[in-house]
Order: sequence, then structure tokens, then C-alpha cells
Amino acid sequence: MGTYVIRRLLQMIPVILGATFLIFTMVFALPGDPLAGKCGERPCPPAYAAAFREKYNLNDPLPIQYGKYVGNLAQGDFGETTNGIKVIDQLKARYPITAKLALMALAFEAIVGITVGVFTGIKKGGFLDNLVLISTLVVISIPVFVVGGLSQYFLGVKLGLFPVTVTSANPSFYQLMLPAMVLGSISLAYISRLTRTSLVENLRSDYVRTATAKGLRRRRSIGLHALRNSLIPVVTFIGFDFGFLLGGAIVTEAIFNIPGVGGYLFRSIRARDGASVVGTVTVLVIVFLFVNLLVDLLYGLLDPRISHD
Amino acid sequence: MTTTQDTTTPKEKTSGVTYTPEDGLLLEVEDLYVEFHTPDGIATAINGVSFDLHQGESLAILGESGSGKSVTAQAIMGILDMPPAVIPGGHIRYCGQDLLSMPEDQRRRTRGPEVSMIFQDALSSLNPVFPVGWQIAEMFRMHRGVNKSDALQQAIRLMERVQIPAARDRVKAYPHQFSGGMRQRIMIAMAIALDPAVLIADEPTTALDVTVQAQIMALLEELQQERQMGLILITHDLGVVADVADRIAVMYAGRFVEKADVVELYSAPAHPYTRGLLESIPRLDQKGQTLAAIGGLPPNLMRIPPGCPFNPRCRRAEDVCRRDRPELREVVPGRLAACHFAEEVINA
Amino acid sequence: MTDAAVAEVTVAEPRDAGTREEERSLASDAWRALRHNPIFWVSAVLIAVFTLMAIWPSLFTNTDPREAILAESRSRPGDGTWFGRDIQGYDIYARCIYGARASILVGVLTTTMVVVIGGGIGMISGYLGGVWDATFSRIGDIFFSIPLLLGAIIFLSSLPEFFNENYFLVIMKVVLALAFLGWPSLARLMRSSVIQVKPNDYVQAARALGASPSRIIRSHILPNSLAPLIVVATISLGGYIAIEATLSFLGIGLQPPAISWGIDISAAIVGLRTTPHMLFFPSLFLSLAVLGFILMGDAVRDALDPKTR
Repeated sequence: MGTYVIRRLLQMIPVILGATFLIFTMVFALPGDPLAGKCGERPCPPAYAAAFREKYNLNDPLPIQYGKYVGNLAQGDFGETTNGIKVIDQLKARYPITAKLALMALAFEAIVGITVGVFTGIKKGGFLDNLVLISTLVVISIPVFVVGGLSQYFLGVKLGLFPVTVTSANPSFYQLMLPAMVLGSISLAYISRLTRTSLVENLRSDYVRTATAKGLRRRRSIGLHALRNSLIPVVTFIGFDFGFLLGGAIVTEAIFNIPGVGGYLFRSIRARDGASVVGTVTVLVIVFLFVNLLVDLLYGLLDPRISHD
Repeated sequence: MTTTQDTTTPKEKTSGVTYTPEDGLLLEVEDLYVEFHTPDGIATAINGVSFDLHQGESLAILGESGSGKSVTAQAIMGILDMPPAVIPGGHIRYCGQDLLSMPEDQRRRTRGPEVSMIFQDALSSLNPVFPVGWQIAEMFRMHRGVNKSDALQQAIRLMERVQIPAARDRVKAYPHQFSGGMRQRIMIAMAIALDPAVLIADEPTTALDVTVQAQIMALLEELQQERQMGLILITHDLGVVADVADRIAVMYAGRFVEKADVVELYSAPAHPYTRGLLESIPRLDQKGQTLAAIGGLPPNLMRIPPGCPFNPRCRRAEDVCRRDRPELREVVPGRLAACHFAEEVINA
Repeated sequence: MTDAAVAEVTVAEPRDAGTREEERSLASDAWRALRHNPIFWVSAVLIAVFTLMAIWPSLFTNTDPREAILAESRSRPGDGTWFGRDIQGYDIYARCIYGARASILVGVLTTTMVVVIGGGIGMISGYLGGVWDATFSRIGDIFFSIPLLLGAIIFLSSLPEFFNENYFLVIMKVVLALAFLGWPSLARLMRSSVIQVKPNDYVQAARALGASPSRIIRSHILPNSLAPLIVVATISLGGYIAIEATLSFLGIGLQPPAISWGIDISAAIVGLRTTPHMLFFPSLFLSLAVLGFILMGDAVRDALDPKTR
């Protein structure tokens, strides 16, 4: 297991290097002035432009530019905002809120999605099953910001069940509940469909027949023997989907005015603060890569057939 | 836990229900029918099958794939998928009590402690994500309420009993880490864990190498004699049954076509189908001769031909065979066969 | 969103033979299954209506979507207009109709580019194998490690102002961003199809008989990989429409004066409490458009592979 983690970490290095190079290329090597839009709507003052070129080594050849860029990243230097505040400091203050939101959304989508998937899977072909199959497709089709806007109106403004927007700098569990449900809603539909498909397949398997022949209760045959196997692809999906969750967090935080990383990114885009945008997204991509590593490790724990030697 | 048991005293069960065999009679299957209701029509998989099973007896049910032998086993075990399977008629009595009319929870409690089953493909029949010891121990935990560590100790003893080397070290290993023969031993350990009175083995050696096949059959025979279980051995392989079985029932298109003691059946089959099966076994003393395979295919279970279901493949078939279905009848004392010309076949 | 959609699709089993007759019977089987599926007809009608709307909006309305009647700003549905007016005094119905063009254009152009680029690269790596496969697969891994929405934000925030000059360029910048980041999923799919088909006897026989690579690809590999490609491309098209709207909502995709459902939804969130109709109608149009393509993909997949249900 230990060597496996190390090997996976080593394998991640080229991917991280490649991803940062890609981001670097998009930021600095696309046609156009890298300074464009870095200073809001106005053109940059010459002094700032010179400092910017110096800071991002734009006068060097491309490979050296990239080398220095990665060097800065490795030291935790993700650049500065137009106001001269370090991006990393901004992120440090905000990531706990986003982490809380993302974890709540994950818990919501996993618990509800798996439950729905199990109930439709064991009653395959029934009315509930068909209803869920179609309604999940409808939910998948509604973009997060539409779900967000509509639920904010109906559940927040109309019914008053949830706070409409988050007002505090350190939002409570209750304040984040509706945003988390919105954020988890689309993956929820995917998870319930995937759980259903996977459970239906496993219910036909020989080892579930064995579980019945062992005289186990139906609840145990399904809930433990079949479900344990059905969850393997679901866990993989949740990790794979984490990138979508991060994207959705930007939208959700923008709608509900949550002062997390996503809300910060949203305001940076609006303010055309390029350095903040790039720094924030780079961090999010690296987080995504680590989450995928974690999911791979978890996958090995769930499925002993995957060798980690 | 004792490894041997007194065959006359009833076993104690946590469920409170006790099952006592009368005169050693464990299982009575009477005029059993099983149908599969599919979108294409109704397939009759079992068409009026009857047999008894006594303590310490081993019965082999022999047939080609699709003959209904596995369905019979699954019907006794109560693990058919219903739907699509339907049991429109018949009785399966265990120690005098009809399993088919029993409340599901009571029937469930018989699976494992009373009637137990091992399957053909141990790799797919064992759960891939749980350690083998855990899967054996689950029997003690769920049926007897034994705590986890005691159940695991009992699982280790069982693994030793079925001759798994270094059982104590391998109790936490997963099914895929064992060889095919070892996996089948684990299946057997799990099936005999609660000292069942009836053990059903559905093609237990088909997926294994020939040398391993012999070892597994020897183990099954040993365990059966040690515990005086009633053993139902489902197989398509005449060679496998010869040493282990006492009686053989030959199945064709959902019916028994012949029932006999194993020695008598081998020396003089009373049904052309059985004869065909025996002739299709390669024999060392007939080297150089052509193997006599049975021509044709078993009938489609949705369209079983009128008359004798075997008539399209039978070399002896005459008009009566195409018209009247022969009943299973006593040909000579102790020998049953369903053939209009059974007397001629047995003396041929 | 598209990533998630792709995850659900598995590559269909390769067929035993690639002869014309079998192709025809498989296609006609699928068509028979499709014809009896009401979901297919619902999605076909949705797609047809939105496509017509995109090509010929004046068929649906005579109102100019840029005609601002400020005096009637925020008027409710029924007060002279079907869907009411927004803050600028624009007719919401007209804007919903004209908004279809951007969505459909982005969806269709992105899907075309992704299919051509991803399909081509997947074909090359699957067919040639070796160094080509290794190189493209690693590059694909790197692109895959960047979540689509996050990558698109960086890409778009770095593009020069030049791309905001006219309608076509604004559309193209979003298309470029999505295609640049979205091709690996199609490439993976194509690669696995090719690898499944290639070792089959009839392909080997064709090679032994001296058929050229282009002929083998055209007559054996394409027919077998086309079905999963069509399914994924259709579902992805819906996903790209959703992402375009999300990007426009965040203020980084299409910019006014371009008309987009995402922009209108973004503007409507502000006035949520008093004028919910401004949010509701563009949301409905957007979700129905996405739903049309996702339902279509789902129906086609079911028709091609009845096992999935």
C-alpha cells in the first residue's frame, strides 16, 4: 500500500506538470497581450506592466518562463491580485468554507443518490423505477445555476424554508444547506442511476444467489453483499465527478453569495482580475488531482481484486 | 462444535423449530413442476419429478445442460428467481414439512442449518470483496448468533477440516487469492458449517482440473459419510458419480427417465438415453473405436415433442413413441424407467 | 457535465462481422426500437423546434429582441407580452427565441470539432498503437485532469479582446475553449472501440489481403465505433449547451449584445424577489434544450444496447 501511494504520487508528477503547463500556455502563450484584462477595464500603467513582465518572466524564452512559473507554484506563490494581495492568502481564508460546502454536497448526493438507486434497483421496472429514470434525466438537464436560481426563489423567497443568501463570513451548517443541495443535485441524479444499474447487475450475480442459499435475510443479501459490490463504480464516479463539483461550487457560491473560493473566483472574473483567476483555478485543479488519487486508494480498499503492490 | 453427530437425535436450532427425520427420510420431492414465464412463452423446466432422499444416502441427478437438474436443485433450495420461475404444482417435504407452503422466514432459516448447497463456479459464487473466513463465519453469526471472533475461530477449524493448508494464515485472504480447488473447498466448508442434513452439490467439479476433481469428490464423500448427510449430486458427468453416488436418477427434458442403483444402471441401462450416455464415455479397453455420441439436441422446453420427449433422438423410436408418453414404471424390481421398450433395452 | 455523461456510456460490444447486411439489420433493429420509444419522439420534437428556432427565429416572433421599451420594464407575463419584460425592457419571449441560436451553434460546432479532433486522435492511437498511443494517451490524461468548466474559465479569461468583436467570434471563442478541453473523452472512447475491433479475425483477414488502412478504417472500424460515438456526442451536445450557458452566466462566455439564455438568467438572479418570471422563462428554454439532447442520446443508447435497461 505504501509503495503504491508513492508510485501513484510519482505518476501524478507528470500530470501535474502537464496540467500546469497547459494552464501556463493558455494564460501566457495564447495570441494576445497577457496583460490584457489584468488591470480591470483600463490598460495597465507602464510601471505595472514592467513589473508584471518582470514578475512572470515574460522577457525570458518560453521554457524558462514556464520553469520559473512552476518554481513559484511549488513555493506556494500563486501570484498577486491587482491590489497586490497574495492569491494564496485569499485562498487560505476561503477554502474552509468551500470545503464545508463541497463536503455537505457530497454527503447529500451520496446518501440520497444511493438510497434512491437502491430502492429503484430492487423494484426494477416498477412505476417508481420508471418515474425516477425519467425524472433523473430531467434533473441532469437543468444546469446548476438554474437549479440554484429556481430553488432560491421557491424554497428561499416563496416558502422561506432556507436563508435566501449567506450573509456571514463564516456560514453555518443551516445556511449552507440549500446551496449544498443545489450543488449536489445533478450528481445526485447520476449517482442514483449508476447505483441502480450497478445494483441490478449485481443482484443477478452468483454470489448473491449464494447469500440467499446461506439463509441470509434478503436485507442482508442486498444491503451488504450486493450493495458493497455495487458501490465500487459509484465511488469511482464520485471522485471523477469532483471536478464538476468544483465547477458547480463557483456557480453556487456566486448565486448564494457565499464567501468561499468559488465566490472569490466569480468576483475575480467579474473584476477581470486575471492573476486571481489563474491562481485560484490552478489550486482547484491540483486539489482535483489529489482527490482522484484518494479515490484510487479508496477503490483499492473497496475492491480487494485491485492490486496495490 | 463436534465434527460427528448422532444421527438419531434432532439438532438444536436457534430458530426453535426442530426437524426430525422419520425412519431416516429427509427429503421427499413429489410431482414437482417448475415453469419459466418468459416474453416468448412458457418453458416447462421440470415436468413432474418425484424422489426421496434418506440420511447417509447419495443420489446423483444426471442430465445434459437444460435437462432441469439445476432447476430441481434450486427449487429444493428455494433460490429460484420468482418471477420468472413459477412452481405450479408439487411438494418438497423436508422431515415431513412442506417447504413450499412454509412462511418465507421459516424457510430461510432452513437454508444452511438444514439444507445447504455448493455451486459450480466457486469464484463467482463467493463474494469477491469479503475475506473467505468472514464469509464462512457469517453462517455462525447469522444463524447461531455467535460473536465475530468465535465465529472466525470456527471458520478456521472448518477450513482445516476441508484441508486448506495454513488455514489460520489464509482466513483473511480473498477468494481471488485461492486456486480453483481451494475455492471449492471454501464453498464446501461454508455449506457444511452448520451441519446440514441435506447437501446439494450442483456440478461441484465441472470447473476444475481432472486431478483436483477427484480430490474434491473424495472430500465430499468423506464428509458425507462422516456426517451422515443426504447428498444430492447434480452432474452431467457419469464418471464423477460412479464412486460417490448410491442411486442415480437420469433426467431428460424436465422428467426422470430412469432411476436405479448405480451399479445396476452401469451394468444394464434400462433407457436408450442412459445407454447413449454410457456409450459416449471414452473407455480405455475400446481404444480405436468410434465414440457413440447421441445425435441431435435436447428439445426446446417451450415445445416438448408429443409422445416420448426423447423420440426424435432415439434409434429405437417407433410410432408408439411419437404418440404416447411412457410413464416412469418399474421394469424389474428396484428399477424404474420411462420407455416403452425398457425390457428390451435392459436385456440388450 | 459532459464528463459525467460520458462516464455512464460504456463502449458497445463489437459486432462479429462488419458486412453491409448485418449493419443494415442492426440499424433497422435499432430504428424499430427507437420508433416505439415515446422518449425518442419527445426529444426529436424538442431538438427540431430548437433547431428551427436557431435557424429562423422570426418564424416564432416578430418582435426585435433588442428593442428596449424601458417604460414597460419588468412588466409581468400577459401585460402585452407573453413572458413579460426584463429590466432593460426587452421582450423576454423574443429573447428566449433568439437565445436558441447561440446555444445550438455552440453545441453543434463544439460537438463537430470534438468528434473530428477526438475521434481522429482516438483512431490514430488505437490503430497505430505503440509510441503514438502512449503519447496521445498521456496528453489526454493531462487534459482530462483539468475539469472542463475550470479550464474553460482560464482559457476564456486569457483570450484577447479581438474575440469579442463580432457575434461569430464570440461564439467561436466559447467553441474553441470547449473543444480544446473536451476532445479527450471522445478520443478515449474511439480508441477503446478501435482496440476492441482491431484484433478480430475479419480485420486481420482484410489486412492480410492487403486492404489499405483507410479502407479498413472505413469499412470495419468506423461502423463498429460509430454507435457509441453518436450516443456520447449527442449527450455531450446537451452538456456543451449547459456549459455555454454557465460560462455566460459567470460573465466569461458570451457577452452582451449577444443574446444568450445564460446571460439573461444571470441578469434575472438580481431581481429574483420581485420579478421571478425573468428567471423562469430562459431557465425553462435552456433546460428543455439540454433535455432534448440528453433524452435523445439516452433513447439511442437504449435502442442500440437493450441490455442497459
